[in-house]
Amino acid sequence: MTTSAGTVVSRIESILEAILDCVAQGQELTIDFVSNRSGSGNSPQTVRFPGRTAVEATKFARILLILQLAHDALVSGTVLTKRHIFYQHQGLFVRQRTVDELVDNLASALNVRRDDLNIVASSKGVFSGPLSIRLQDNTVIGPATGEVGIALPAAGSIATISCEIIRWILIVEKDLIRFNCPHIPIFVLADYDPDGLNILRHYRLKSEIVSQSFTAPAIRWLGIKSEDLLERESCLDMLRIPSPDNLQLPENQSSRESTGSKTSISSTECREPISVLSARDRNVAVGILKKLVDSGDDPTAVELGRELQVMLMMGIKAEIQWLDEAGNLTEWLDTKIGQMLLGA
Amino acid sequence: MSKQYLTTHTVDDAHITDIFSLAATPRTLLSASGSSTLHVHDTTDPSFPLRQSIPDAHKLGCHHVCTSRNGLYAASAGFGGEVKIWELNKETGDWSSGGEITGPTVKPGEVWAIALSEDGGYLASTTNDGRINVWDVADQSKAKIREYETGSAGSGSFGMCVDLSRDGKFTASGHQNGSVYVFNNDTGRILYSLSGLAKPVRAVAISPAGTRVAAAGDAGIIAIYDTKHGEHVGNLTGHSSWITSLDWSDTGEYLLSGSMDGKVKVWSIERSVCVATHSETDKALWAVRWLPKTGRSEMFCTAGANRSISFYREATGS
Repeated sequence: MTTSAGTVVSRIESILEAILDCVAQGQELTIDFVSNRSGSGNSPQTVRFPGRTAVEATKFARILLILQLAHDALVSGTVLTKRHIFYQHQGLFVRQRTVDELVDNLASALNVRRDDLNIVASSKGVFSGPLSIRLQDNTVIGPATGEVGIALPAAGSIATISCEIIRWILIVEKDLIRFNCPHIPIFVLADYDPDGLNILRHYRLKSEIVSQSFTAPAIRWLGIKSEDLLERESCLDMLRIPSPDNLQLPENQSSRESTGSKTSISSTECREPISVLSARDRNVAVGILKKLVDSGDDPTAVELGRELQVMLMMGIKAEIQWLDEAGNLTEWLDTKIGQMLLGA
Repeated sequence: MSKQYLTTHTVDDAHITDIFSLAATPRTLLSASGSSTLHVHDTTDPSFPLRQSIPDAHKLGCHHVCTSRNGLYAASAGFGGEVKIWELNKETGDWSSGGEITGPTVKPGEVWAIALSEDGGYLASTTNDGRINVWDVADQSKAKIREYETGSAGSGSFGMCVDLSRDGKFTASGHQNGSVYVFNNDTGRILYSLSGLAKPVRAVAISPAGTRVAAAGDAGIIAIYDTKHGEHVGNLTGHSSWITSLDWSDTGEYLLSGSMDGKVKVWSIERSVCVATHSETDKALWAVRWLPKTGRSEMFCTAGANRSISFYREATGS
C-alpha cells in the first residue's frame, strides 16, 4: 500500500514541528520512534536529545538527519539511496548498517513503506536515460529522461530491455550487474577503494559476470584512479580533445575555470576530507592483489594491481563523492566519456 | 648559500612498475617496486648498471627495502606481508637469500615499514595497529625480541615508517594519526611521544649522531626533535605536497626529503633552510636516498611513480 508523498511529507513535518516547539520552550527534544529488536517485532521508543547517554543523543542526531534528507527528497521528487545517506555524514553514522536499520525503523514509525520515503536500497539502483524496460507483465518502465532516476526493477521481472538508440552506458558503482547489450560501450565509475576496484576486477576479468556474447574489454574503467586524485592539473590538460590541429592549443582558461580546478589529494592545499584505509581495507586489497597476480599479464590485471599498490602506499581511499565536492562531477564525466569515445 | 646539484644520470624504466623504496650500500643501490623482482644497481659505475636482479622476491610486489649501515645485509617487505632477509657475499658481491621472518605475527598487516640496525642484527617493523616489533635476524630462528605498543593493545594507529639509530639505542616510528614515538631499546619502553604534525607521518629518520629525529608527512612540514629531552627544536617548511621520504646525510649536516609532487629538497640543518630543490618529474617520489660518500662529491638519488631512478651529484669546483 503506497502512501502519497504529500502525506509522508506532512507526517515528517509534524515531527519536525514538534521538535521545534520543544526547542522554543527549552524542553528536551524527542522523537517518537520504534526500535526493531530481532524477532520481537517493532516496539515503540522515544528517542531524546540530549538524552541520558551519548548513544541516545547520537541516535537522535542520526534520525533527525535522515528525516531531513527524506523530506528534501520527497519535496524535490528525487530518490535517495541508503548509501547516499551514509555518505552525507560518515562520521555520524559510522556504519552503513546503522543507516539501513534506522531507515527501516523510521518507515515503521511513520507507518509507511521505505520506498514512500523516496529512499531505496543502494543495491537496487536507479537508471536514467532513453532506456525502456518491458516487464514480464508487459508493463514498460522508462525512458527516464528527466533529472530523476527510475528505480531498476528486480532482474527476474524483466522481459526485455530496448537499447537500440543507446550509444553508451555508464555504471556508477556499486554492485555487479549482468548485461546483454553487445556493441554498446559500457563505462564504469567506482570508488577508489578496494571494493570499488574489485567491482572492476569482476567486470573485466571474470567472464561469468557478463554473458558470453559480450566481450569483457568492452567495459571501460572510467575512474576513480589514483591519477584522478593526484594529478588534477594534468587531468585538466586532457580536457583538450586530442586532434592533430590543436596540438598547439593555447591555455584554455575558460574550460579550466568551468571545470572547477581541484587540487591534488596529496597537496597541502587540499582541504577535502580524506579517508584512511582501515585494517579491513588493507586485507581486502591484499586479497585482490593475490587474485590479480594469478590473472597473469592481462593489462587490466596489471593496471588494477598497480592502483591497489599505490592505494596501499598512500593509505587512503576516496568515494566518488570526493570528485563531486566542487560540484563538477557531471563535467568530469562528460570530459572523460568524451575522451574515451573519441580516443578508443 | 644554496648548493648546486646536477642530474648526473637517470636509469629510465628501472622497474616495470612504480618504484616504492630504495636502500643504499657503499657500492650498490637496491630498488623495490610493484613487481616481484628486486634490483641491485652498481653505484661505483657512472652509468649505474644493473648489477643483479633478484626475481620472485615478493610475489605481490615490494613496498619497503632497507639495508644495514655496514652494507652486508638487506631486508625487504612485500605486499603479501612477507619479510625477507638478504646477505651480501663479500667475495662475489652478489646478494642471496638470508632467510625469511616467519610465524603467526608475520602476515598482511603485521609488517609495513622496516629498518635494519647498523650491523644488520636487528630488524624493526611497524604494524597496522601501531605496534613496533624488533626481530633478532642474526639468529637462525629470527625471533621477535621486542614488541612496543603505541596506544592501547591492538588499537594503535597504522605505523607508516620506522628508523633505528646507528648506535642501536633508539627506535623511532611515525603513524597515520600524526604521532611520532621514540623508544629506548635498552629499557624496552617508550621514551617520547612527540606531537605536532597532526597529519599522517610518512617518514621518520634519526640523525647519524643519534641526537635528532626528523619526521614528516602529509602536513608538508619536516619537524625536528632532539632525542635528549624529546623537545621540538624546529620545522623545515617549503614542501607543498605529502612528504614521503627522508634521509640524513652521512655527517648529519643535511637532510634530504622527497614528496608526492615529484620534488626533492636538500635542507641545511644548521641554518634550517632549504638549500636545493629539484624535480625530474611531477609524479610521486616514493624514495629519496643519499649514496654513501665514496668520491669527491655528495650524491643522492630519487625514485617513484615514473619508474626511473635519478642520480644527482653536488656541483663542485667553484
